[in-house]
Amino acid sequence: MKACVINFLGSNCVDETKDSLLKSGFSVDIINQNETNLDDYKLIVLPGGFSWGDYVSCGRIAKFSPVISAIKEKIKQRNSFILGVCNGFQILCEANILYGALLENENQKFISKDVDLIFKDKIFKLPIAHHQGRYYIDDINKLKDYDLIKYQNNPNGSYYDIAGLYDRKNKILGLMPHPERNYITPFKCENGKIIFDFIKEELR
Amino acid sequence: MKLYQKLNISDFLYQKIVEKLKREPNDFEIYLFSAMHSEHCGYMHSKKYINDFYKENNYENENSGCIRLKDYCIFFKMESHNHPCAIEPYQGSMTGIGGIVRDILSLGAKPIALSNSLKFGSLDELKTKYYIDEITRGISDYGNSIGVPTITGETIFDKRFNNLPIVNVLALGIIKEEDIKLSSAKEDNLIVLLGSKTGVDGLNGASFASGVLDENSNRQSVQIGDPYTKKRLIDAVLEINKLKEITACQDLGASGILSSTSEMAYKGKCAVELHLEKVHTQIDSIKPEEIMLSESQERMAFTIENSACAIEKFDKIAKKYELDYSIIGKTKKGNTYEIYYNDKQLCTLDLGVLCEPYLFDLEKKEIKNTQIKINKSNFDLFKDMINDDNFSSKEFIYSQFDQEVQGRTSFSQKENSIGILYLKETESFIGLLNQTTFDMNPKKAVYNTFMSSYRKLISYGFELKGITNCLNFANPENLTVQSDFRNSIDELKRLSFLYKIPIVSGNVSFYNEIKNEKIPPAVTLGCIGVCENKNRIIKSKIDKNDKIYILKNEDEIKSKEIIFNLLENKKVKKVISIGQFGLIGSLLKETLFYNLGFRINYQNYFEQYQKDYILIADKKLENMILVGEVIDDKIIFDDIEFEKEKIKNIYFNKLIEKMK
Repeated sequence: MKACVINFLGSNCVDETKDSLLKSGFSVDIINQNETNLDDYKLIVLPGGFSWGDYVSCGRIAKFSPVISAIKEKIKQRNSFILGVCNGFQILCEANILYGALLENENQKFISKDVDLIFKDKIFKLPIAHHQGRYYIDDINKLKDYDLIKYQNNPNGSYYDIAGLYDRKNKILGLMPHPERNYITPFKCENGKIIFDFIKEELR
Repeated sequence: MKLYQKLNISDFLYQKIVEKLKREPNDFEIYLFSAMHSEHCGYMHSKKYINDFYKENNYENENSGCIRLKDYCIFFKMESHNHPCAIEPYQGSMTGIGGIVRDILSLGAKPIALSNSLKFGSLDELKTKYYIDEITRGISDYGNSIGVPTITGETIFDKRFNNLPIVNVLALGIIKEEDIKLSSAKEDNLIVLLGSKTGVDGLNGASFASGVLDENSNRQSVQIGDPYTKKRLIDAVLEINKLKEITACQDLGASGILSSTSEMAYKGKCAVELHLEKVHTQIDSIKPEEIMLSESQERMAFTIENSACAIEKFDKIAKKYELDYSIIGKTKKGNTYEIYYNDKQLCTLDLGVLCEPYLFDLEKKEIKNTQIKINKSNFDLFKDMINDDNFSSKEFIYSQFDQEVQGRTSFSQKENSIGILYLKETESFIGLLNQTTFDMNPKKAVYNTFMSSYRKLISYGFELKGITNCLNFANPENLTVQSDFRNSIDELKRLSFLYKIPIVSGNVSFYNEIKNEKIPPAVTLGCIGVCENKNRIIKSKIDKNDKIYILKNEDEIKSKEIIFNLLENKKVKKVISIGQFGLIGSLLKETLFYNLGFRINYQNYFEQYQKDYILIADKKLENMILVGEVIDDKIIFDDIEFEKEKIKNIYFNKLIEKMK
């Protein structure tokens, strides 16, 4: 199955995301923000990083990229999976592809640590590394068609302890923790596999 | 006041310049000399002493040196950014990272890890909290954004740094040896400047960092960082340096265009002709001397073959990353440095005169051995340790640094006191740490730093393979400072030859002095260890009832072999080298991490940096001294007993509370 990782200017988790997808059995292309033809791809990944330096606000400038319009078209066809990790999740929210917004962490600092997550009756650790990861939603009812990834101990003040969300209908997953950092590195746990396996399952 | 005096050139040095030049320099030239013949650029008080360490042909004459692993080179270097951080801590620490990353990048190496050594004043000072917040935020904003993980570091609190924090940062990069780009220019090439527009920030920062700070220190001498542009610059340079048309690459750090272009040409034995009106600038009103001395960040210089094809290839990559560039001049046959502005010639200087400043001799006094005997009970020593801010967890600092971006980090500060990276390119692991220790005797301080780093790497299964250093001292015109400096260097030299560890790169920072307060000699060593045997790295948890042993270290090399053997055969769960807080401190940090205590019965509980190792095992170990065991909720040594919970709370939370 073919996947692509979008290398926005300022993305910085491209290589490890690619390696994780390869390990999960995908073939992977790296494309840039100006790409508009996404026909080949079953999985489209918006990786972590600081697109356009996170200037103005995280994901605020990236959302105007041509590739974002192409992703919106692709979603309508209902034959693909979209994954946004960290900055990718921020971009998906900024572009109104997922509900909600990501605000500055409650302690106003960058937080890099391992956190316990709850997703589909599983509890597992993954690392977070962000400055603007406090999930905000004005009305929780908007998320009734979503599956939620929650923090066991909320590290950043996210509403309803939300670390990530999955739009079941459109197959769009956005999350702040980094599955690609706990999958390909020796001596790290392989909890990232839980997320990649879930994606493969949903694409079956 | 004459211009040269305004620009901090002493009468003595000015005379030396006139002698060498055989004429008076013109005003424009005085600006150039003020930067190139500053301590920061010219290493005038240190150059005579820092070049004869043990070496193994590690590119030590380039912007950074390396160790070799298979057909790859691991470049690493450490640098200080003390002066800028003292007056503008956020921008100072940002551009500290920016600068050291460029040193690695200029060889074409991909930056893959950062670390830092931060020395702050007492936490009881309000100002210290401000410095901690701002410097941490600077490193966090910059390092995280450019996508290079900060995998390890040290933080020291000491009232001697109350008014002048010491910020040393280390960067490490990897490149295949055959792809390395050097910094010596070739004749008849174009000189191209890539990256940010040249502005009036960081103006003459080199000369500013070569004097004692005071109330009048100019904030305009501090550079402004832009991590987003740096990220694009890194990606672009890695791509550009693959072009065969690129003949040399050099970063723009201290003294910007001036030092980068002159040094490239001087190393390559050719002449330079620059046309300053061609430089892309932030403002039109910028003066020629400002263009030369600006330390605007995120810029790199290249020499490329003079052909349309070369320019086209360069242009394509620059456009891809949305970076500006300008062709600012050319190299040619000769040995002169010629600068023009709108066809008006501003200077013609002999490159030798420009690039070879006067070098000072430093005095050295023999060290008198003065040992202070501390007569304190073990109970009091334990209390002192717990109350010392240096003992507490620094998590509130390092949790602000991204430790795992790039997916190479096997262990970071979250779990280890060294950072461990996996290099997929060579299928090996490297261990990184940087350390500083202090002592009345500067030789002893260097000895302790070197040997405790050496042992710490061994305790994790790594063999020390290379060192970079940052030598932070006060005013070098002071005789005590001179002597401390030379004694420190002598000891580092001795150890590097004794253990055959190449000192691959380094940095000297003098004039760390403010309002007559001198910093103590602070020699920071950045140490790289290599482990090519995955079995030697252990990830295991300490449990209740594990036994605690001591390995008497009679011979460093033999002990290394014993430890590697124990690790490879999984006979131990953990090997601990003894650090600043002695046996008790080093052991306590490990057990608290697993929420456990210990009971031991031994000796010399608080002797710093002893050479013996602590071993923790759940099996019986032959030929080791059994001294105790891991227990649940108490810390017991001799007849002294403490509640673990209370100590744990202090260890993990004290600094967070103090920072509020």
